[in-house]
Amino acid sequence: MNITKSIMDRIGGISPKSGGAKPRFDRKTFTLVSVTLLVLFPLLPFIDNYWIDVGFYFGIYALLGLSLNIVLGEVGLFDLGHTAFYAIGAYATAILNTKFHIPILALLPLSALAAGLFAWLVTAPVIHLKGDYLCIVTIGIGEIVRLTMINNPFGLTGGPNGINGIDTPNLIVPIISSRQFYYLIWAIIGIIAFGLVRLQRSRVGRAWNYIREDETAAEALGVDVRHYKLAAFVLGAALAGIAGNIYASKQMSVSPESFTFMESSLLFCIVLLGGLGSIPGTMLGALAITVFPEIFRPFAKYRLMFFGLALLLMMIFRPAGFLPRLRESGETLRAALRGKRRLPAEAKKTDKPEVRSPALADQGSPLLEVRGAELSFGGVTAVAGMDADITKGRITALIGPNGAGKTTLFNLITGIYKPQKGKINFKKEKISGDSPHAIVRKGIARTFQNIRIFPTLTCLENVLCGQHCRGSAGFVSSIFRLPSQRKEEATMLTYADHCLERVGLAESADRLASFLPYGKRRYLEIARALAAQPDLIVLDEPSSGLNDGETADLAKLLLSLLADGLSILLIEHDMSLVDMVSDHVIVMQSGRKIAEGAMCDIRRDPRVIEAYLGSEED
Amino acid sequence: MSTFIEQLINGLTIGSFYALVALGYSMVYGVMKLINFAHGDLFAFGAYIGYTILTSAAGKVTASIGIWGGMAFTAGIVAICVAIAGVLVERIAYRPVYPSGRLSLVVSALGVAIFIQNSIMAIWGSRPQAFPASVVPSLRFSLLGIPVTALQVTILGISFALMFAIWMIVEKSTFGAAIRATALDRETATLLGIDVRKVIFFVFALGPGLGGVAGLMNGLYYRAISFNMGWNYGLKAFTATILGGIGNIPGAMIGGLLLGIVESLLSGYVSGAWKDVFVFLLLIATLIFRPTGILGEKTAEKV
Repeated sequence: MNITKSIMDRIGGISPKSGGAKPRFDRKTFTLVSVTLLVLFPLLPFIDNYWIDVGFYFGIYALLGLSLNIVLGEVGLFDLGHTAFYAIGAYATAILNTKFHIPILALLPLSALAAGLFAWLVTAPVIHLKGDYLCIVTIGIGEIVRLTMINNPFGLTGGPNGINGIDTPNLIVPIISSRQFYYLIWAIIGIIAFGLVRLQRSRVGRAWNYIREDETAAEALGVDVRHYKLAAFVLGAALAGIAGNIYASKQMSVSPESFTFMESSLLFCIVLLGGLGSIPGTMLGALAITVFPEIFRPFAKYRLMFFGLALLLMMIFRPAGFLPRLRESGETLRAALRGKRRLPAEAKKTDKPEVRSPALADQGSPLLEVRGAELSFGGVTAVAGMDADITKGRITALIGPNGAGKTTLFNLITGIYKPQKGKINFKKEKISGDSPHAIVRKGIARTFQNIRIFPTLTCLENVLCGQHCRGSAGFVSSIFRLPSQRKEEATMLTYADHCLERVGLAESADRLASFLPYGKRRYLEIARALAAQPDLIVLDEPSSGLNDGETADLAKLLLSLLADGLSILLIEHDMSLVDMVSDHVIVMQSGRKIAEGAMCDIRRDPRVIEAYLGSEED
Repeated sequence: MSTFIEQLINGLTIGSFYALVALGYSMVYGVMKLINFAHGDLFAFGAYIGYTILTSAAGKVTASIGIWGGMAFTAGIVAICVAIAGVLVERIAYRPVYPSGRLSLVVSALGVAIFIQNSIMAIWGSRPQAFPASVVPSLRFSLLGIPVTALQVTILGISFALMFAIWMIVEKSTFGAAIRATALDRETATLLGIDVRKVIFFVFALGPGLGGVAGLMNGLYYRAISFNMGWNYGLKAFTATILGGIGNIPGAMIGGLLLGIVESLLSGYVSGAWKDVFVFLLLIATLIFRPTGILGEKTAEKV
């Protein structure tokens, strides 16, 4: 596939409205020009202190925008109270500086720490809430923080008037002038943006995006969703705390009126105006928010009215934002790993990855045991005292009429539900009660009945999700690109490529998953599960929606996976597929096992015939 | 004891404003799955229109048909104007953005809220406005030894009548069934022949209409209104919606009344300054321990 086409596809996938639009300019040139402009701006002869200050506040909003972008843009968590973290940073600086005379720059990390810690404390109990509910909680947190500052607890916050007399920073020379402040904030943004770009292109950044795209699928494929959500809030809050620190010292005062709900709404708009998850986009969003009121200053009375209108028009005509996030191709990811130095030997694409093949010796020994598993929803019993044994090195099929509890059993095995009674052992170790991501790490990976791929990520990134649980690179090693992280990343990329090739999707690696036709999406899900290097792969109706030819291809693929030493458990309605591949069939009805054995025996079992066709007397 | 009952009546009055606004949030959320951030500002818009009618154009109305007639007339006009504004908001700001997803809708809603709030400021000015005493009934009487104003009784009467009417429409009528079906599953409702556009139209006319009347009554009760009152009332009413169970009509009413009473008792017996902090803590606690609210039903996500 040629490169222009692939770029078009990648942009097109972000929003149906901008589909197929050609990028009007090169992002690299854009970045270069903007950085040069930002550096030269305060030195231009016709720029006075007023405009340099505007540039400074642009910086504050850019930093706040970047901090919210982590939570809202990368992870997709609706945070409409982000100003709370900004306020905590500003007030921490103000209080510690005026009461204990700690220098401003020493308070910079402390403000970040205070805001991060606060975020952890307040979001940990609510992080499981979804969408709008979390949004409401964050609004509540924002209001509580603001009201607390107005109420002046223990005389700490100075009430509605806030705190005055905050020092200016001292970085070798005292930082006082508008120009010095301008360079201070932009230098900090430069460092932070550099780190954020690296995070975006790492295991951590991808995990965030998986959660944004489909939280359930991310968790079921081995991402510790809770951990990454909390980490996003803590990091986002810490950056907002840094912005608060610099803002407080520039203003030399803080007061509650700077931290209103309106302010949080503005930050939310910055991220959406720029483009979700896009770093240059967020900067542009901040520019629009700070410069817009300046341009319309002569119409002071009407400017916010226009601003509201502009937001509206923007969402109608360009909902994906100014500069939507582009996904990196596999080549870009690899090039980033190489850096200036030579490519590590193990990262060459031509190298064959080490494919784990479970020893053929213990074939036939039990792999998964379900004992008396029970689960009911309200009064409906979905699984009632189910027993099942899945044997190593076999394809086991789970069949049964609709509503028999097959998918529920799958959800029990993969940890999405916890059994109310009974237990499930995997490789002789109890797994019932573990969270889904932990079960993936132990060796069970799954696909979904109603396909759950990550639509706006590339196929390669989709498959890398499976590899997530086999890696360990965290924030520090990803930001500094430590040798261990580079090596791990290279291995992950190679393995993901291998899995794509395994299902015949190597050609589509850099395409957005949403551009795949339906049948290929099923294969992408299988590749993603394979990438988790499981012992047991659990497929929920893999043939649904496929035609006969495609089903035959699927059967071939399953048999070849079996030959590699994988064990497979599948739910299937297509008896021809069950016939073609399965060694062992388990029949479920009303949450119970009613028969099991080889397919030829199952066909003749009267209980099975009755379950499917009704008894003859009817 | 009598202070307690006074606080209770005061709480009920405030609570009925919250309940009326909460109904609008809840209906819109039910049908659109959207937090209509502009709703609070439509409430303020209603208060300002009522103010204009009562102070200028309809000063004559009050003179000719009396204070009560003037109030009823004003309430009718306010309801119609704010209902039209509500429908326009949906047409202009939400319908074109709907296909772009939830996040874009949130920004669009915030944009409309900012627009309405600042339009009010541009038209009526940034300083608070006061309702003149001549248009507000001043009748007071004592009920079992507790002082009550005629206005309080009227507000409570109108609010309960409106709530009862809405409850009847949504729970008992055929059209109400269409609304509930749309809230449950928009696509299926369309397939079953329900005119979803009509439902949306109705919800965006009725919700803001009620909110506008609540805004007017709120203005008459406190006698003062300000252009940015919508944020705060919107937020409180939204809290009430969550307390009662979002998307649930009786829940919104109960949530609103409960919140009013809790607030009033908190400011009477604990602390006026910390009252709102407690309210938001209550909101968060509800979401942690009973995210579906008092009357909401649990729904499980299908995997």
